[in-house]
Amino acid sequence: MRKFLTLFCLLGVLVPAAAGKPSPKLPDNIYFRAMQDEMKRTLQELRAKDSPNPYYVAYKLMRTVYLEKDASFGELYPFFEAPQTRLDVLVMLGIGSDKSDQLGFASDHFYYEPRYIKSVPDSYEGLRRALWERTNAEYLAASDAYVQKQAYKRQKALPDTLPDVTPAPQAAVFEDAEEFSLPDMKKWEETVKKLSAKGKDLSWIENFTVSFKIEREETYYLNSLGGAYQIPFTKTDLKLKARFRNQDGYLQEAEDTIQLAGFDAPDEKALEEKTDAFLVDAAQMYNAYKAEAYLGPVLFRPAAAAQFVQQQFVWNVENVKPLLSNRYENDESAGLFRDKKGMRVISNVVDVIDKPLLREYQGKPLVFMPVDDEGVPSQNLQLTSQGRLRVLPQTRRPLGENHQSNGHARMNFYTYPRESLTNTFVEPKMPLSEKELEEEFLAVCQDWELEYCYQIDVYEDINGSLVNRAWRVYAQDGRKVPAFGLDLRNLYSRSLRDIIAAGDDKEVIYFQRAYGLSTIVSPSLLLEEMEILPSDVKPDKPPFIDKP
Amino acid sequence: MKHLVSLFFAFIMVAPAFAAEQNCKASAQEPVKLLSAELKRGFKTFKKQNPPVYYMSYTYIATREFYLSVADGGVAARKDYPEQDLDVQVRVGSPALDNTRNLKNANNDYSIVSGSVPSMEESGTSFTAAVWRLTQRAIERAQKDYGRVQADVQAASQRMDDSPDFVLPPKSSFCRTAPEVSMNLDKIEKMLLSVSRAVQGNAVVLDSFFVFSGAFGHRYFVDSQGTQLKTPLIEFRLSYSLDGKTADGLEISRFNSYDMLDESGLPTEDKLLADVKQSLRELEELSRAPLAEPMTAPAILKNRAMGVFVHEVLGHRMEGHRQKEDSFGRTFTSKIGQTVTAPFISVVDEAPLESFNGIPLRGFYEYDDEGIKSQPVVMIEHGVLKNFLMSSSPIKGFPVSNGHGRSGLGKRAVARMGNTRVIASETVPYDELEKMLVEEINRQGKPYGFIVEDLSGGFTMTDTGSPQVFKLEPKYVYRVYPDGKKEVIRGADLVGTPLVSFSQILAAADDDGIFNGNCGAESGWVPVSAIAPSVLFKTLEFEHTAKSAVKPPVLPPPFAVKKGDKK
Repeated sequence: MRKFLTLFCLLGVLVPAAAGKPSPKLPDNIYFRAMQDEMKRTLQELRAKDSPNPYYVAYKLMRTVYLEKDASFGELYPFFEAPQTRLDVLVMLGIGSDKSDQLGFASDHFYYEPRYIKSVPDSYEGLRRALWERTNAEYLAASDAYVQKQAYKRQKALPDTLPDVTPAPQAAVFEDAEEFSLPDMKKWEETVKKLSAKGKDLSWIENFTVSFKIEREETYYLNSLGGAYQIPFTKTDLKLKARFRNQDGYLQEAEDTIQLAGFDAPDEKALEEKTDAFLVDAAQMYNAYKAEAYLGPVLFRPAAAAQFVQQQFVWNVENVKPLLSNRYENDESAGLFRDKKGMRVISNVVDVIDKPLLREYQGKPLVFMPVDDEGVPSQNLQLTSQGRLRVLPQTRRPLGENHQSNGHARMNFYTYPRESLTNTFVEPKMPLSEKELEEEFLAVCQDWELEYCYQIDVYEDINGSLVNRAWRVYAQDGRKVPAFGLDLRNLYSRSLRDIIAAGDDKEVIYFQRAYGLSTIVSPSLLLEEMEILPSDVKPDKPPFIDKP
Repeated sequence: MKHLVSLFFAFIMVAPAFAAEQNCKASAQEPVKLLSAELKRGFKTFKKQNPPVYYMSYTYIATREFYLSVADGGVAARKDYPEQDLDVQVRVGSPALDNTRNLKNANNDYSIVSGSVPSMEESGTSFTAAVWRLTQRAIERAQKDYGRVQADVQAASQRMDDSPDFVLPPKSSFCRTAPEVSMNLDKIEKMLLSVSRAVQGNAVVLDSFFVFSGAFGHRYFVDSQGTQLKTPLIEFRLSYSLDGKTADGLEISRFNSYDMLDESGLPTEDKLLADVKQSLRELEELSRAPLAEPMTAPAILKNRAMGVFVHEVLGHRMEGHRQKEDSFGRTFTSKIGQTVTAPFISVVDEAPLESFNGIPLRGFYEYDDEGIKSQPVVMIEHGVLKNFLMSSSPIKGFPVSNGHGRSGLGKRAVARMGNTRVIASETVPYDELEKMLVEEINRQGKPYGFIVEDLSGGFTMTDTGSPQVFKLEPKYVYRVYPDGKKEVIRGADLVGTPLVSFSQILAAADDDGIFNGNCGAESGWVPVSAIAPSVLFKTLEFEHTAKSAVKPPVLPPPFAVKKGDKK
């Protein structure tokens, strides 16, 4: 299914702007034919008086196939019976020249995005029209940005010592993107119904849903320098979600996602066991105690650790070349570690490595990115070692003394190519077993002379700071009592240096970002010191009448 | 009233069709049984809450939805799926003052608790549990809103109309099951793919779409008064749009639609292709047409355009709740019994009318969204204002609903139009109406007049914070010169004020036309229709259409054939 058919690399080809472009042999499909033909017309004919000509064009097409089956208390929700497909088109242009173009400038940092259209007709002609239409729109926007950027540079007397874009080798990678065959959906319908029925007789659960979801995204990319790729990505998962008012009346949701390998028929026995375990967890959450103000060690389990690393590390090493702007001179979207190379940014207990060339881990698919969205071959990055920041993701836009891309430009609907990560691994130097980690946790907790310390399983949401799945772990005997309503607003990147131990229980956690999907593969992390506040959320009214 | 009723009968004989009788028992329908039982289980307890629930209703809509979007020989989206949604309407307080009262000192929110619900295939337990969850949320929300209303009442100035917020509806029972309608999407897709290619080579067409959409299913309604209803919900539409832009930034377009109740109403491929080619010719004509100048002059609104005009300019001002709230302009509130237009013009909303001249009317419904049987409402009889469209929110002099409480999914109902119909008791053939236009142009000494062939929509301002004006967007307009010569123009918007405009009607033709569309207002999007003859106005005002600030594409579309190019 995921056979790797062709690997076609054009390494070391330096491409001056107007030179003859290398042309890789593209797969014979309507997507590349449409992109190639419209790109040729754009480069040859797209001219406007008083506007620089396009010198660089990149197109990205995303074809998504999606199917979901949801059930609640043993009955299916209505949903599409057949997979839904959608084709989206994204266009970016560079105008002027690689010495001086319009990119890297935005009047508003949060709207630095290419032109795109969603739901394009799946035909050569429909794609051509969509590419043409968006290319025109992009050209008008680029012309405007070019004039503004030049005026800004003159006003601020910014020197032209560095080119806006540096040359980089281009690569082409094409994977088989043939139609995939669906699993037996009737079987999955029966499975989600059966699993969700397990919540029916639990009087305290207001709703229990089980959702089976298949998401497939095929991406087709081509730029005018010869960089190209065709890569399919498929993810299937089963989500369990229980909604209830806990014993104090707070409305809560427990959620767990089981990543499934491939499209196999459901292993019902294993799924039933996981569902039962989930409901036991949820029952403990029902009996949870509200958090109190706390200062002390905290143990993050892998999902929470990944969220912590995402917020405090990944966000700070991405978008590291600040955008120029005549409106907001401080780029709020730029990573704060941009000038910290060589400095200590994280504890030396772990190293952080980004691995775009890895396809899967523990049977779960990763974001495979052999070529980035500037057509440059991607490289694994040893981001930290000995706690010090060693390297940053780099695009073709020079950053400080670094002029060479390391293939980490990612682009999507909501961002032009910027410095981005793919699969970020948190690698402990001395991974501790679960038992060792818990012993260490209790020992630290006792050092702090605390009655209990907090273990956090998962944040409420990716960007949120409210935690409802946590445990008080008592220092004396390791007893665990569920807790909820932890507010982590006082969490800063400084906490990365407080990691004192890590487990051997790495898990893959997915994150949807502006540039697309990314993963963080993290073990449990023990932090020496953290401040927790109780949330201000008030309890809800009890139901007026009992559940039917 | 009698006179107008007899006038309707004359039409009923030849053209309109009303819905069939009921053919099932509402109380035997599974959704009605489950919803009624759940309502009964909780209502006694809900009534004892503080503040108390005094009325509630469930609207359950179960449909099969179809959507197919095609352009340039490719499919952009194709969907064929079931939908099951529940709206929960809760009123707390008392009919005199409840949670739905419009706030004077804050923004008003017309949304209600609504959600997708699981099927009831097996035991119905999951469905009932979803109803219970949504009910809990709806009551919590209504109680919170009631608190805001009470605070607002304390601080707000005196209301002009202090009628109660609600009148409890009578108990009803009705059940009609429609025979299953299936649509062959493969066949429709093949036709649309073929026809969509006809526009590819045209340089004027910058964008196009061909869409088939629709739904078949039933709507179930139960309330705390004991009402139990099941009514069919059937609407299918095939439409296309061709869009272009002139060098000066003016967006031009041609749109066409075909409404149907089943597959037999689909146009043939030849018919669709012929219509698309005609629209292409019109778009090309528009692209070359001179730009309109602001002007007041005699004008004909062709039948469909007149339908839109009446809907926007008059119809929205006939909606009951707009006579009640101080925030609305209340243009016609005090004009009951007064002459507001020509004596040969009557305007009625005939929501119970299912089709007209064989064409299904989108504004048809048997019971409104508050469970009240739909009724024809004579708003204007021989030029004299008689009545308003009423929901269950009474106004001074109009204490009950006349079956016009309507809403989109997830919204609270207010008074809305259904099938708004202009009836002229004196008519002339259309050719004669054009001759009268030319005479009027010459009589007024105007350099030219207008014929508005097509009017896609527009908006009308009804709140007191804005002037009581309307602005409509004609898509295809002719200038008519004193010698009768016609010339297509572009960029003319129709503007005015309602009282003046309606007093300008001189004559009407005998060519009733139907506009089927969707109307958006505070209670959401509802399907509507307007039926009207072509009408000659003594004078109407036209002004420039807004233009886009962005210039047209630098390159022509990929397959555009310029004049002189070889195909």
